[in-house]
Amino acid sequence: MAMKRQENGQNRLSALMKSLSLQNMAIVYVFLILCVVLALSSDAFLRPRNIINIIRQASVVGVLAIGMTFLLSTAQFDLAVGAQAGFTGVVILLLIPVIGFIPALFASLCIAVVIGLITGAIITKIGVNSLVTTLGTLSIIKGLLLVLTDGRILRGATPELRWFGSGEILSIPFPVIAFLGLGILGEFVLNYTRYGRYLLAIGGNREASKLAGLRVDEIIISAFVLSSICATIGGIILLGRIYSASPLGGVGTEFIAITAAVLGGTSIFGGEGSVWKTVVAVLLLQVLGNGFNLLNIGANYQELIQGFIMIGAVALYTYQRRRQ
Amino acid sequence: MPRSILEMRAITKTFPGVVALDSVDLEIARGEVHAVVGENGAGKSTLMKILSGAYQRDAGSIFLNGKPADISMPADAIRQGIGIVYQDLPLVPALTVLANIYLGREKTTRLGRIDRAIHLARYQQLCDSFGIYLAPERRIRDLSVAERQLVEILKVLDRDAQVIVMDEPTATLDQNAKEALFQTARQLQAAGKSFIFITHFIDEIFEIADRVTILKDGRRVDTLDIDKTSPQEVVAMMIGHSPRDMFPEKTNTASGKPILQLRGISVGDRIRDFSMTLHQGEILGLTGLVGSGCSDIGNLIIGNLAYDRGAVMLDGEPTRISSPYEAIKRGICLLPSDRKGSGLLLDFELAKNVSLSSIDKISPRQVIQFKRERQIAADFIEQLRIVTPSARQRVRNLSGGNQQKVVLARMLYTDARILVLDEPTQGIDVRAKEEIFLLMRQLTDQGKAILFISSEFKEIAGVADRGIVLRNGAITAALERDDISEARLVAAATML
Repeated sequence: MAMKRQENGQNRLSALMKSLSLQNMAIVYVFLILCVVLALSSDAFLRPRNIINIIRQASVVGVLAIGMTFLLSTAQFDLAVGAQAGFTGVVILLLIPVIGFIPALFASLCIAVVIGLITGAIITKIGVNSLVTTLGTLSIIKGLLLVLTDGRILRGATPELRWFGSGEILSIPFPVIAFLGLGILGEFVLNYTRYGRYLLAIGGNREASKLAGLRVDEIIISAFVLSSICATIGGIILLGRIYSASPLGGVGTEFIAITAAVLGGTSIFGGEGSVWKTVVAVLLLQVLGNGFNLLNIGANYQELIQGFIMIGAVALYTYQRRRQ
Repeated sequence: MPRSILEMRAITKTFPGVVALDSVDLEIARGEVHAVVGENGAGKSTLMKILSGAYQRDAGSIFLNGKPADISMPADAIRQGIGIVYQDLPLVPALTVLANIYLGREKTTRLGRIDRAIHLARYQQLCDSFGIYLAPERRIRDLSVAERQLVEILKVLDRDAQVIVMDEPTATLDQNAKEALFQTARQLQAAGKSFIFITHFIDEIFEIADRVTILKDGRRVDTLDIDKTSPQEVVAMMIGHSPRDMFPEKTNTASGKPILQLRGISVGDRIRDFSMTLHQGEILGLTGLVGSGCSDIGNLIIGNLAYDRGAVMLDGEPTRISSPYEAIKRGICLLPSDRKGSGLLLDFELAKNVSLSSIDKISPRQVIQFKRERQIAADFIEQLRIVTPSARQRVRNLSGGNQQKVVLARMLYTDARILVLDEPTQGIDVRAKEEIFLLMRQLTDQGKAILFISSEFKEIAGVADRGIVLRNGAITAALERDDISEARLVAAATML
């Protein structure tokens, strides 16, 4: 009995060691090292205002990345979420004068559900792959943006809307609360609930999951709906921060969202996913930009460095996997 | 000139833990059609892979035209006149017959353009010299299986093959196509080419072959002239005398009530008018050669394959199951034949693989109880004697037998009443096989019903209470308890 307990303790210790290993936590260690370096080289970095600012600036991409983590866990992805965030802003600004604030928000969420359902259905029921399908939806949404705005920037955010960008609860800005709150909720759902297990199982082996009795198509569609809702929430925050909606708003953020989810260790082949590490990766990318500003390197280098980090991380991951 | 074109002498090949070939001889005469037969695992494929240069032999020698041949990679075999026609016909569907035949060996003009005229001339000459006709401009995707086979044959003939090896060439052909293939083989034979036919169909070798070599458990049993033997003798040699002790005793005396019935099921021309009745507490064997449609039956029972005609009855009630999800709800579970591809989540922990089909049992209000999940896995590890360091081991790191037990544990945890096991013993060692057979018998003694699908006739004969034999999607025999024997199963599966 005593021996068994000891064995148990050892098992737990080795499990803990494994979960803290470089392979599993690389992104977290890189993030921490970067933070230490920046804290040492600039007094401004650790100021609460700066930290809150970083998180707030990361929040739109962050919310998109959380949705993307769910999709990538099932071995799918969506290139249209950035454009969809921008689209949300346009829809809300156009609808507020017609139906009022709350109904406009509600309508934008309904549109998100419909977009997710259609995208998911095309991919699962017809069997078009997600790259082609979402390239198509990306183009459609970008086109809709241009048609609806006639190429102009829409203004006229109401005070209620601005609250989503800069309102505070206990002096913490709403975008920060939404981003970190969704992060915690997402991590819980993905790794601790039945639904999350289904997502990861389907990403790990779709055929085996189907034969094991999972309703694979429906679950994949639901992941597209969730990601689409996240894109809309991101779009609401974006609108609240910049008060306006441009025909190009949000376009391109999907790539940062995918980069962050992949950096966070969510496999592009599915089966593995971690929302909290995605959150860390989003913050890492943001801190990188922030650090460049603080160190006067210039933000122009950000995408360049981002690309190297992305390829480096995925190459390392793929290499380790092949060696197994 | 020596009489034999090819001689393989005392070929031996071992894999870790298995002697795949034990001093096997094979001698092919010029202009001969030579059949090589044997059950699964007899060593046919290994022998041909050594001849083609895909595997290296551990011992033995190969002679071509009486001279020692050095075959250490596939290019060597092709250069020395060995032509392999693979079962899966690796051709590029979008390209023409001509382009496929010269793929990778194109002659070009000085400007680098492919010189079609040269190819066409060579192709015409090739076809003329062997009396074959196939339009050079047709695309592979528009050809029938038989025509594709012909392209492969032309491909090896163009490289001046003297010995043409065909692996299961007739498995996917209908009667007319088969006749045409045999006709082609005879023409080529007359032109001095030799054939090695690897086949499971015993009746066919009496139509086409001059001699037959029988392999069993990696040894050559004998080589016989076709004129001096009979199908019965060949089958008897293939089977040999198998030890019976690996099978548990059949305890089932009287069958329980019918639990699952299939009546007149048809799926295109893959399955034709299939009927069966599975009783509570029995192991029903379903067997046939690879491609006979046995796996289709398993898939259609769990709703993973739609059928055009016929009826399924569960407990006597007509029913239509259209997805594995519904099947599991009704107590029917499948163990797929492709364990790694469609059975397991290889990178998931053992415990998560076990709980996959019934997560609702360990997640009241959606949240998974990890401790309970591992406890349940631990119980199955003990009950099924799964060898693993812990319930948290990734199943990728387990042996084949233990992986199979993990899939079984998942099925048992669903409390299914009907278990469909498709090739449950594929690629696992003898001890694990025995354990799985014993487990199957224990489960039926508890009242479960098992449909045991296997292309190992010996296992069906040893384990199943009753047996059904399929050939090309149609039932050729239904054997009751007292009639079931390996010889009868083999006969029904391989002879018309």
